[in-house]
Amino acid sequence: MQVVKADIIVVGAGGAGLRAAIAAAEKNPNLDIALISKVYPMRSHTVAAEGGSAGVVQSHDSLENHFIDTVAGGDWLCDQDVVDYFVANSTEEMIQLEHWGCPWSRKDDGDVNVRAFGGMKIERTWFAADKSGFHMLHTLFQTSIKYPNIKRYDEFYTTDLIIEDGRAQGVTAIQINSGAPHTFLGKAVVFATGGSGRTFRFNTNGAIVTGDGHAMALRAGATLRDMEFVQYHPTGLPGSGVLMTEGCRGEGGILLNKDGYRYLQDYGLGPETPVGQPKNKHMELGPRDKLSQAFWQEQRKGRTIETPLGDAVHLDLRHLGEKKLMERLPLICSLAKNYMGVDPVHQPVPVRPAVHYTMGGIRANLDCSTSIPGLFAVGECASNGMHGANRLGSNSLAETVVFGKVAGESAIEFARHATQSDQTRLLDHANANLDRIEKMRNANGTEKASHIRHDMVKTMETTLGIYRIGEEMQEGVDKITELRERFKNVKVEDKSKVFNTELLQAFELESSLTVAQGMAIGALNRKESRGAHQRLDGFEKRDDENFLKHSLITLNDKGEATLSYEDVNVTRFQPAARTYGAAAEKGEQK
Amino acid sequence: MSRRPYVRPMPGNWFMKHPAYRFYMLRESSCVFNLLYCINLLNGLFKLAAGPDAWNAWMTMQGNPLMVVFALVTLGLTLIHTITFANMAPRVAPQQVRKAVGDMPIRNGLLGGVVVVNIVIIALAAMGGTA
Amino acid sequence: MTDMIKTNDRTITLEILRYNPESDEAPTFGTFEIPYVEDWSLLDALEYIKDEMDSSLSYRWSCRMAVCGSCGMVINGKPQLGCETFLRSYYPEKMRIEPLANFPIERDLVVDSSDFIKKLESVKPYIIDAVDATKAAPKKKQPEKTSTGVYKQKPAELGLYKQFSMCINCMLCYSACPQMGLNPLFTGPAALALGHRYNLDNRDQGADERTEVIQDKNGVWSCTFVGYCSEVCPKNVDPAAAINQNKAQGAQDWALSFLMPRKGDK
Ligand SMILES: Cc1cc2nc3c(=O)[nH]c(=O)nc-3n(C[C@H](O)[C@H](O)[C@H](O)COP(=O)(O)OP(=O)(O)OC[C@H]3O[C@@H](n4cnc5c(N)ncnc54)[C@H](O)[C@@H]3O)c2cc1C
Ligand code: SF4
Repeated sequence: MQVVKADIIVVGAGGAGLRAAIAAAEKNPNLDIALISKVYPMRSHTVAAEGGSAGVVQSHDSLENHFIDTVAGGDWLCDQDVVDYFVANSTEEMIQLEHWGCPWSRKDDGDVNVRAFGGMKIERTWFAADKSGFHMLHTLFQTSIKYPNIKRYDEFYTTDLIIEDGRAQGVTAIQINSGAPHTFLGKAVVFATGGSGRTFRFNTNGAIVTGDGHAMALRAGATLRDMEFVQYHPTGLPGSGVLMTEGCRGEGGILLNKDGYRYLQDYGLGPETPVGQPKNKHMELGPRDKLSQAFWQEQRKGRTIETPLGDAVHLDLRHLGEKKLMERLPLICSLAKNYMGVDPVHQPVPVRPAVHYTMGGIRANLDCSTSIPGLFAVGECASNGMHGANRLGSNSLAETVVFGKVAGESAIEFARHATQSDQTRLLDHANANLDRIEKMRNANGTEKASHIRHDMVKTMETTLGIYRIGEEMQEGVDKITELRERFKNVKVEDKSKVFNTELLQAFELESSLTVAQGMAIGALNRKESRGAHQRLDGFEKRDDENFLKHSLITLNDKGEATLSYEDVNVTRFQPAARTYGAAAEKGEQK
Repeated sequence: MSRRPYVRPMPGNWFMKHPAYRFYMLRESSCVFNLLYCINLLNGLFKLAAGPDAWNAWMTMQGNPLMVVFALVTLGLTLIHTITFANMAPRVAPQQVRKAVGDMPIRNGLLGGVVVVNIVIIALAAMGGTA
Repeated sequence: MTDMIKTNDRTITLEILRYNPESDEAPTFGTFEIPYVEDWSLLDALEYIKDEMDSSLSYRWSCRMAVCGSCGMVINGKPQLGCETFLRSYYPEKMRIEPLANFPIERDLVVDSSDFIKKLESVKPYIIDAVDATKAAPKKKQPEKTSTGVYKQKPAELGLYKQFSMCINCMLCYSACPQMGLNPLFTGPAALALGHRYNLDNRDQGADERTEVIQDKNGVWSCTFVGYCSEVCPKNVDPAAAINQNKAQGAQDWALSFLMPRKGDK
């Protein structure tokens, strides 16, 4: 076993992990930061984000507006102190990225440009054409090279936390290219391991988005929160799930059903706005959950378009013209051409909702600390309470950097006071973790992991879809439990060490199954409809009396998942009806 | 250590292995022919200085079918080189110039220049011939 | 994945270069006959093989949308992204899949890219502002800031370096470059293009600090402008242009250095 000692260990090198590492390196250039990632940093899924990142800049906008949009968008399940901190700091982070070289799109006078985004009242989404996440990630990665005290461990797969004296003091990992087990020891650990959308079949996420951090944290005694809230993005390509950014609609794209009718006006998002003149929070610029739900309703009514890859509606961008499409949405054009054989300049693009983002995650506080001292969580793997029941587009890229910085600085602060426990005890722990790796490699059961995975993603899709029903969710809970049992009897056929991706996939599946169970239990027991969690079995309304609460998942002594709830921090914006389109305007006039 | 990264040898004839490489070699081979042709011309110059007999012998040699083929091959390769050079020129131009002017004008300007220079030379040669 | 297969019995043959360092002396081709599904990308096909036929097959992939840069492979002799390669472009002919050329093979389609990453790092790919610049005094003036505090950058100034900032680090250009095979020390297309990207940014003052690497004999001067790197680049970065613009610049600087030697230069 190889032992690596560092002061701070950051697991995950996406937007959140890189920002955390840089913040830590800047705060204290004398501390060693180990940055671990299972893929090279620029492969992290932040790279896929297209639309942009929110930060108030326009003079007619205000932090209060951003706060209100976020809290209402999250259907009041947001912790308002966290949202306040977020909106107050996101612009500064966008500027910081600019200073580090991020090629934000510009206005003619050289100032940065901002675009409209779903659920945002005023344009405040900073963008770099339709490759915003790509540019943010590469800027952060390249900037991180500047700091000699950030030592990267690329292509190391982290399997478990090391907890000693009740504190997180390290992790164990497999060096992927050699298979060699590694133990990392440090005074604080930051998890920035990304989301878990791969638990579903049809999704916009990359192969690596499997919820590893969630599962490691839960096993080590941390709490998962609000796992039932899974965002469907309304416009994924049928078949692959590849995303057509919300920026398409921000720029003026419209959604049509099979009759060429802009159906969103029938679902509380109207009245119809003129084509090519998008209006914030109206029609196509409504929030994602509402748009995805409208698709489902249309499908029920038989008004969607049948394609060989399943039902779809049309995203029509033709009226934007070739020049604007090439300037603002070049990636979208090439993706639609390559994956659907459709040229958005001349034809509407078939789209359908796809699982996109997981609002829930490792329960974290405003300073990114978790219920395990010394463990910090940030980015999509964390639930710090800012997204509530539905995340607004362009808030999560901003979250990665705003709270990435917080996490890095909190970890430094924690490490300053912490002392490392006795090393032999730490290594004993590490050895137990490493045994688990060998056990997995030598797993000789009868089940094929790939087949369990196929069953899992299908189960999640059918039982925890856009609309949910108690019976079906129960079926989901049972089925996932059964799959977890089957997993105990898994066979890993490939016993080799070098780049054994079968072994890694087995670990990833184990993580995803853990996350899936949390999602299913949380959903089944939330007897109301809120944000991304919509029920059709007598719980169609939001129930603030009983469910203005975060759901919490922990493991009990026997290792079983147990559910509890905690209050939401409502500081000043009391729950109200969540309205969009004309209804919202009426509400504001009152 | 279980790692044993495998380094594939670079085949000696790598330049034959891929159409892009073959074309590259063709383009570059023009310089060999151009060099030989220059030597031939230089030789002609010496012969001219050496007197009419030597010059006439050299001129006769140029009419040899092998020399004609050699001249044609050189001409063909030179044309390929000229065109590929013009195609590549915008990408060697400073980025500021490339962005301001655009690829086509740079390329066409170069090709145009080549055509003009050739016309001038041919015209001079023709005039020299008649005079 | 499996359930997406429509029942018909058309198949396509994939020949994949296999190498397991723990059991094989050298790489050899393995053959897989798989169902032919029209919408499948090569990644879908590889996933089918891994899930249903041979779980030991190793390859890198993630985003499926040509932006993470993980899945570069050589397909029928041409370096391409697996996610952007579709079976329908080859069917009914067979496909021959190899790992990227000019890199050591770690296993199957996975190559060792650590050297590539070191080269990326070597060009100092980050903004070096007036404060950071340690060598000669900045030649450019730092752009003005707007009232929000961002540096002004006009669309034309952004346009100057934009194409060179689009690189997804897929390494296809390294696989395409014969000079890379002949001289493994060559810094290579993508890394040099990245250095150039920062040199062209009006916010950056670090050009002098990058010269050493860029103008080195293993820098741009290892390039003979084969040009194939730019042809295979999936993002139109045109690394060959970046390199050759630097050659022109380097030659010019070299010539000028005789005319007017600058103070403080070695
Ligand atoms: C297609 C798409 C488009 C999007 N568009 C937008 C948008 O326009 N605006 C917006 O605000 N948000 C958008 N989002 C959401 C946003 O991109 C993500 O929420 C955010 O990038 C997550 O960043 P992260 O740093 O938390 O995680 P990631 O970028 O996913 O990084 C996770 C990191 O953890 C590492 N890791 C994970 N598990 C392990 C392990 N076991 N061992 C070692 N390392 C591990 C990975 O290697 C990776 O480096 C989009 C998401 C998708 C999928
Ligand atoms: S320059 Fe092009 S081919 Fe080379 S790594 Fe970058 S994107 Fe890939």
